Amino acid sequence: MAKKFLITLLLISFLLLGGCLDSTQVGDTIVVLAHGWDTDGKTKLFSAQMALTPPREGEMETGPKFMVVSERAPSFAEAARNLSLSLPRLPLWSMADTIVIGEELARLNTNLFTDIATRNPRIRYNVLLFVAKGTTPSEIFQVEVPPEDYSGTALERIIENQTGQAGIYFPMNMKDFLFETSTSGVEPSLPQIILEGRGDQTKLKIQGMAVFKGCQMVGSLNEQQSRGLALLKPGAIKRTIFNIKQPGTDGPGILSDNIAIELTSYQVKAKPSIKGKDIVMNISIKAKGNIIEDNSNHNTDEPQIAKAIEQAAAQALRRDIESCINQAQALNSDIMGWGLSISRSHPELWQEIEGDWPEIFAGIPSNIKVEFKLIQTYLQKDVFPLR
Amino acid sequence: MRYISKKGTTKTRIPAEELITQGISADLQVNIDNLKVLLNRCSEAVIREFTLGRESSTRCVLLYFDGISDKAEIEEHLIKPLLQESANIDQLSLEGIKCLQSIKDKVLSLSQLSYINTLEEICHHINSGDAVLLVDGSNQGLSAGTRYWESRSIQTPENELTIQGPKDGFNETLRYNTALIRRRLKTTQLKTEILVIGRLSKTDVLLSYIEDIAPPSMVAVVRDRLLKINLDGILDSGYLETYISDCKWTMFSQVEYTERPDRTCAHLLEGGVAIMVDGSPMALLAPITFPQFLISAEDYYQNFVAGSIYRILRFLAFFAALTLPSFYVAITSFHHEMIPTDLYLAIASTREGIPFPAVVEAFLLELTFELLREAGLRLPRAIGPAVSIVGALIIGEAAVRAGLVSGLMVVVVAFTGIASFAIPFYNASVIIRVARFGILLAAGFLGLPGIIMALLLMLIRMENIQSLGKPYLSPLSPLEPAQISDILVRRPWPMNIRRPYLPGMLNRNRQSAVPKKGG
Repeated sequence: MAKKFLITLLLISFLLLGGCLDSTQVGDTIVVLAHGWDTDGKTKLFSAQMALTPPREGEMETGPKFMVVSERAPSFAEAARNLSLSLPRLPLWSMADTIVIGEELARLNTNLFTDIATRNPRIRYNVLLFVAKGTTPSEIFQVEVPPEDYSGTALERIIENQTGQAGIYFPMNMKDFLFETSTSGVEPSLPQIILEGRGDQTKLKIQGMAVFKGCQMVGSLNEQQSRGLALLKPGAIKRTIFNIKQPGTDGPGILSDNIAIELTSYQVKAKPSIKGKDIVMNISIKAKGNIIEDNSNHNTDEPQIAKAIEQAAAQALRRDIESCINQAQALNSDIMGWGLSISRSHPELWQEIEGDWPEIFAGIPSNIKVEFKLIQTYLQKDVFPLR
Repeated sequence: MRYISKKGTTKTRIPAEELITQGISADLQVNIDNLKVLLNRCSEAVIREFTLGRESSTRCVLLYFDGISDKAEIEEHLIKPLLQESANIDQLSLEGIKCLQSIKDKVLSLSQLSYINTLEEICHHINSGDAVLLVDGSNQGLSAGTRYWESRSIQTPENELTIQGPKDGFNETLRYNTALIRRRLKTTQLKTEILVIGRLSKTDVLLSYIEDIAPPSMVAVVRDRLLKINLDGILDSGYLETYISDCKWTMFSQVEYTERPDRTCAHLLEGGVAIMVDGSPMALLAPITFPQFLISAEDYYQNFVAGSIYRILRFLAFFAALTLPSFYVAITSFHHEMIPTDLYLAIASTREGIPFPAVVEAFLLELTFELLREAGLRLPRAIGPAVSIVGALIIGEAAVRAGLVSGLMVVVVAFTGIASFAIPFYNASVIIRVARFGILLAAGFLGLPGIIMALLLMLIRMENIQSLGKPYLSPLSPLEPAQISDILVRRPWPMNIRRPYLPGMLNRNRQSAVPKKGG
């Protein structure tokens, strides 16, 4: 009997400990879609895009679908808390899928926001990070991105979708960003968002990757360099499309001298080759792809044509990778993670060179080997005869 | 004014309780007097006195209850032969006990005839629909099986419908029900013991099992528990559930009710016992385990792939019926980050302006749903559908429009209701309905940890229950890998070689192993 009494008491105490009051009803909350972190050099600027509750079924939709709120304070925590002075509902910070970092903050010191991000349990590790290039996070949040209702969620979908379409940029989440920021031998890179057009025609677009060195943004990669970086990161993109010169021609053709190739899969290996203190990075890429557009009237079924296309495709990919490496070395930022692979394969050597790594990295030669295999032409019979 | 009775004239009247225990007297008049006392004010009792023999020298009396005895049979095969044939038979000895024997052997053409010795037996037999013949000079009576009453014909079971498989169901007449079982199991190993239980009701309770499969110790325990029942009346098989259950103080039913003879036979073939009560169309099957509540008889009548898929669907329905409203409440009240943004906004739009917390809203709707279900059961058939429509459509729609409950919660509760209807057994769905409220409360207070705690408590309780010695969660706990494949999915019949484990089972093999191809 005493046992039963104790169990009952324990159960009741559970109820009291948990407490019905700890629950938060949906109607008392507001969904945070994205937050932005920026600075003007003196104060911190925290902004957030919040979804307004859609009307009930059958009711006409009037008014905006979201609101953007901003607060300025000496610290981000204070700025976020100050939002509650004007918000009647509890913001659900943990529901945000996207964080946009202002360029000024990125160039100043990313530790200013990574510190609060690691301490705060309401910021999820799988939230995606972007850098607002030439604009501010709150300006990005104000933009409408049809058919999406909110730019905060649209950013996530744009970057995810393009990894299987254009295949130029790759997403970076908070967990990976924190890892690359805090690990020697690798530097983070984040996709950049820019605003194009003016007024109602303003649209947001991903353009380039922000390159970090330590806790500061030091420069950017362009589109070609960004694809080169994506190719050096296994599984970063699913597909990509690139153009090659028409085999056997030097100048422009009748319609176009380009053949568009769709890369469907690739494998990359980057191994350091070390002789004494001479380090050479051996990069080997094996890629497969298809011809998706060809205006050259060549019969791609012919083996020598197909081989020429394969060589040209390999050359194009090699150019992208080289361009990326050159830019990274120019910026002294090991965004490819070569230092990390040396530390794993040659830990003793890494201990010696770790302190001077940025300088050493800038001068490391690379030996790039690209193999491209053409799988199919997407044609059932012959090339469509052009007149 | 006081009446002063004369000495010697006062008859001492024996109370009926004592009278009934007396044996049959050789003096017919004494028997008639006693029976008149016992049958006093029993309007349907028929006491027919007549004389036998050429000389009409032997008095006898025939007793039966009108309405439960076959009057035509009594007149044709009892009274007529007695009046006509007894006069024609020269050798008929009309003296006492020999007279009764002569009547049984030479006069009556009825098949069911037996001697009885006490007034209690007379009362039991005539109450059961038999006719009893008493002859002057004999201290025994002759009971003739003339039971007959109007009853429901064999109909399709209303509560356990199947598309494939047999369509016949038990009715309120025990003999019909035993016939339905005997037709399917044509073996003398099928035992059907009749136990008379109920101090006043004297109800025939049938204990059925297959002798060379069912564990004898288990049968003995059931028989013993049934015989120990000292209740005044047994009106339905449900009265017996608590008496034969190992664990009495629980909502987890340890027996299964069925009105399907095929289901009963399947249970007997697995070594269980079936208990049937005269006057009840529901057979009581024991031992039963909780996972068996999710198995429909139909699973075994269709292709094993389809049977398995529908069984898995039923398991999912079970979890939905048990926990769906609780999960909804827990996630919308405590764990918002688990909901995708689009869904959260959809939920937010339906909950905008609702004055109650989600747990109260769920509780109110669940209560309304249960009320509708309960009212729907009791309503006359003519207005039942109308009230259901009013309840489901009009009240639901109006409540949503008035902003009392959210549309999504109506969907959740309706889905839960549909899921609970997928559970094949009524008493299992009752367990789920009761448990659902407890889990809902836990979810409202503690969120997902509350649900997990409530489910754990439920599991611990079930783990502690045995049904006639068989663990209630068997074969999941204790784990029996060989039998799991016939619980989570439906095993093809050729692979169903062994019966589910029962402590003390005499024969575990359903069939000899099927030889492998080429082997």
